[in-house]
Amino acid sequence: MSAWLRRNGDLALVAGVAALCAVLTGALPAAPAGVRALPAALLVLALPGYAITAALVAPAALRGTERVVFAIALSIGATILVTLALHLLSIRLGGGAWASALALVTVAAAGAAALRGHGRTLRRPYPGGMRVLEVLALAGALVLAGGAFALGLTPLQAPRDLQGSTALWILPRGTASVQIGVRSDQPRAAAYTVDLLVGGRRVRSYGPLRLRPGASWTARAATGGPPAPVVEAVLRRAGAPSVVFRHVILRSGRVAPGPATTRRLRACPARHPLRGARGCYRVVVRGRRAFRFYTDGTKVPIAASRR
Amino acid sequence: MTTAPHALATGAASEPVAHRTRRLGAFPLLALSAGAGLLLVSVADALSRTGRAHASLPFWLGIVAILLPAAVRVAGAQAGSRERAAVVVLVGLALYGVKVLRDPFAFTYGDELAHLHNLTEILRRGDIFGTNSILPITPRYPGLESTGAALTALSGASPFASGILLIGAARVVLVLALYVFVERLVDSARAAGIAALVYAATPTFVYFSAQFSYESLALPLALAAVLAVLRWMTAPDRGERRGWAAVVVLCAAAVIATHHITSYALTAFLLAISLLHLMLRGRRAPGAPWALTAIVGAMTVAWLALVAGRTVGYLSPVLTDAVHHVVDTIRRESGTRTLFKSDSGAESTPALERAVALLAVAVLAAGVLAGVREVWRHWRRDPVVVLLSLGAIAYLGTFPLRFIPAAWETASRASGFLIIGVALVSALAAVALMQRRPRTRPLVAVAIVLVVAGGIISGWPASLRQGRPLRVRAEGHLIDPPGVAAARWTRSALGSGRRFAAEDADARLLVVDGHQVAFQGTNPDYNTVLQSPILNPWMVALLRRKRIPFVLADRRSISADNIAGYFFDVGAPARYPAASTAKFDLSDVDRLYDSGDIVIFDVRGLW
Repeated sequence: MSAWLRRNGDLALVAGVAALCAVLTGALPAAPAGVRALPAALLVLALPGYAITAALVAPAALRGTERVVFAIALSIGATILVTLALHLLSIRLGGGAWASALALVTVAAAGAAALRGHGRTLRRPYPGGMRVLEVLALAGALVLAGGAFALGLTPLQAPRDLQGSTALWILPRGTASVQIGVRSDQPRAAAYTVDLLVGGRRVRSYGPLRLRPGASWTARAATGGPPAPVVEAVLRRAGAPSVVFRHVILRSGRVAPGPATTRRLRACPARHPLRGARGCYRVVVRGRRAFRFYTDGTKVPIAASRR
Repeated sequence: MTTAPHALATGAASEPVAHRTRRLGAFPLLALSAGAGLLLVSVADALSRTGRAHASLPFWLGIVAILLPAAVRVAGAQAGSRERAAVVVLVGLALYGVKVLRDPFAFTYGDELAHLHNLTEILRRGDIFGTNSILPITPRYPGLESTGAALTALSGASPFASGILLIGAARVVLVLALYVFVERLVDSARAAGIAALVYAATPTFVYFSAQFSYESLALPLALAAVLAVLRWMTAPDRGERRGWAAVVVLCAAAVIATHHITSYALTAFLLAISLLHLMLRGRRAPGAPWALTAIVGAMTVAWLALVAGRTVGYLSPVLTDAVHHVVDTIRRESGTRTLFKSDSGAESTPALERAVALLAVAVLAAGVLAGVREVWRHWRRDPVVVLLSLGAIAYLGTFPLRFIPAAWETASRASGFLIIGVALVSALAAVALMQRRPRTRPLVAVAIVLVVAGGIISGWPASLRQGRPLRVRAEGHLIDPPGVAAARWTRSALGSGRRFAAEDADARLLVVDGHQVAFQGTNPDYNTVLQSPILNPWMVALLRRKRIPFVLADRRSISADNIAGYFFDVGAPARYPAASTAKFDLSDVDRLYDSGDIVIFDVRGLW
């Protein structure tokens, strides 16, 4: 057994590491990306291809460079084909499915390679070791490249004539109130005033609002109705109160679609007509999909056939 | 396939010396130089992002630091095969780093955003073959996105980080497969190293082909398939041949599920090899890959018929437009394109850069002509070498197409495939030259740097080579560009999945940052709907027919540019007339969002 393992040392290592990577990535989905990144990269970009190459081609026919090429290329190819297979089998794609399938492919291919006698004994990659100068040069290269990316990832100060933006918005909330908001993406803090007009008459003023770069302000105001009147909001810069800086207007009286909410139902009487295993629910249709929102806050899609 | 006399003729005789050298050789020093080059490029990006002048100087110094020492080493005879392979991978990854450093925060190329949407849809739906309103064909080729989605799901990293890693791995396959392919083909590590570096002279290599796009993954996989085909052709026994055939089929299957054009190019390559083999070696000579051609061709046709039928409708307008414009230009019925300028004519490349680009073309052409002479002398019976030489000549033939507006993109895309031949024959010419005149090695190294620099210049506009302000710090806080801010607002205020009409760049931001369904482009003509000063009845009918309730009007003309339209403007931007936005201010239309240049209308009242 030990001689067989020694002869197939690379394949045993690849199969074992693939199984470990599958556990680390598929079974620990809550683990941070830093922990799972390397196992994920090995499972998608290296191990299946190495095993498949070994299963198909004798090691004597391959140079090291070719092994690298086909390990990566066939790993990517295996991931693509595994994804297609999962799709055809109607298995939902996710970490668990990919991890299991890729590990399975790797172990199976490694087994096939071992049966064909395509294994190799493990050797140290650099038997003579590296010289100190070589190590220092490689470390220096890593430091320089790391510095390049650290500088690249640092958000820098805005150029002097950068064109920022300030947005004003208005959204109907029901038929008798609106939400208005301002967001400043200007490079410097700025002060604004907002006027709310209903039917052409100013009903409320806000401000001056001093917004730092990236800051937002929102307010909700009653407008009267129904029927919904024409509602406008006007934004002015504090330094130029006579100039309309931004202008939004609701003319149609329609209610704009809002973001998805998961508001809980307040009560769930025993004879509630829409009562399921998790309590009462309400049905929300969004486009072509429908969901049940339960009293405990969970959202469950309803299959098309059951609607 | 290859015989010893050929190898001797190209300088492979020096290889035994090379193999005696230490394993790492000069690689650590070259890595140090490449690291310094990347730092210089990053400094250039930082200068550019903060609006300072002279960013191009550290950029070009960085490119030279990455390329020149590597070119000197690879052109020489001392390095071993593994060291050369490591050096070409180093250069390939360092040049990929140039693209990543330009946009280290997010994907900012038009195609990248379309593919990013597909990836997030796979993760959200748990299935492939979703929909994409920007590039409807892309979900039918899910290879890139499914691999990226697997990486994202398994690692827990962001789709952006997974995409960067995936294309980086593809880069390694690309340069290493090309290196090994040429080394196996002509039995010269020296020629292989030079060919792999010359390949970086593809105008699309540094930027366009490094983006998170299906072609960026498919081309390396196709090259791996081509390498496997070569190994199949030269396999000594049936068992090994069977193994390589399986490798070809697996790689080809991955290509077919990833990118249409690349799969057709791979099939065409196999067919051409088979035909040339028949012509040059006769019917009885073994090694013609007819069976592989049939298998790969059948798989390609099956995918087209069963999965991606709409590809024909997607590709045919591009090709027919290109053909029509070529004919019109020859008849002088339509004008030519000015080199070094964008379609709008606004972009201008500095005179020195133009000179470098033109000189690079001349050097490449000279390399091709000299290389073809070498091929004729030593490899004219080799179908693979002959086919690649024909490709090199065809590459020169694409230069006139760059003067034709509708054909330049076709020529540019074709160059990614044809330049493999250019790389091979130029490398053969360079090795032959250095054998005859050993002192020309520095000249060859400088020529490699020159052609790669020329590729960078002609492949990407000067103003877009360095980073643009995207994530900006202002008074200690981060601010968003107007298009990003508007897209994020739509998601938080309107919910996801709403249908929008928007300019090209805005539509992509709406899809990715807003999770909306956005329509853009000229077919149907949303561009005119957005840019026209008048609202015509057909525009209203289009919005009604497509059930589009929201219009995002953007007066900045750069919003129609899906390469440059995602950043902050520095200085006042060029704008469409105010009427282009004001035309939607009608009695039945709600004006929901106003950020100056960008206004979002609820146009359901027009239906």
